Amino acid sequence: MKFISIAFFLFSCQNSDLSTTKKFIPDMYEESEMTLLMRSIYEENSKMKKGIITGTPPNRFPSYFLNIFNSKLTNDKPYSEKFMTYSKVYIDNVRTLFDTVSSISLKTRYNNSINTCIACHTSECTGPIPSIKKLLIN
Amino acid sequence: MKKRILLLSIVTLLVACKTEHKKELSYLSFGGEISNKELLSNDQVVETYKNLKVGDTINMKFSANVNEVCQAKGCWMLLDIGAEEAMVKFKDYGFFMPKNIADKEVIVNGKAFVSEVSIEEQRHYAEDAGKSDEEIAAITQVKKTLSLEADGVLLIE
Repeated sequence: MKFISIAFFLFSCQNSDLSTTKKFIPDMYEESEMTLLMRSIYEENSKMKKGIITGTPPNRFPSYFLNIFNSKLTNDKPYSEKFMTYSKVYIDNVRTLFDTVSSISLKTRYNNSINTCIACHTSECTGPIPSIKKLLIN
Repeated sequence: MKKRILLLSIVTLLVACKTEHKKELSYLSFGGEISNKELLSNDQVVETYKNLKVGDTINMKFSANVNEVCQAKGCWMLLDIGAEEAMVKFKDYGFFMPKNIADKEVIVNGKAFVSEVSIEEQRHYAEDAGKSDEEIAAITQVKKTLSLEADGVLLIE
């Protein structure tokens, strides 16, 4: 009788333990090359914005921006035509920031480049738009 | 004596089971730190959204079950708030949720608002959610969406 009671108790406890040891393993997103590049471009633009506001504008085109044409997208998704078109326009707009004889203000040229990002994300991936808008100079 | 042993075993077992039920919930935290206290009830959430107009924002904290998560990145999730769903995105695109949390319960804290989502954007979300081409093509109307920009999320494990 004593044995049965103890066995019953142990068995019950064992079942209870089993139900609590089932651990949830989160399936997190692994950042793609493009996501990492976009983060770097975002940081670079934050610095440019500060520089333009404080009168110390950028003086060199960040050549790694050109990786926008060959960085892998999430899940190896192919580039859309829109993405390629906007990327070319964006790179051209960024290059204008280093045009020392331009008649257009640096602020306007910079905002044009950021607006290209927003336009592209409107059709490709809307999530980052609120953050990108913070890069605009008012 | 035998009866006493049996009685003692049953009492011990009941106490053990009771202790098990009392075990506190464990959470995985995403984004900013938030507490699991002072949550709005489901009725309050529904009522608050009902009174919001496009352009209004209000802070809310509530718990809900996850209906769907972005399968590309985990960058949005749809929460079950009764008759409708709330689209949750994460502040400054600063954090993402696990992609395998459909049917799990979360506590979200952030700014609630209502917005109109374009056909193009709805199709993008449908694509992220792994919907078929037919389902994506069937989206042909602008939709009013209950939204939340979450600054912190607790996932109940």
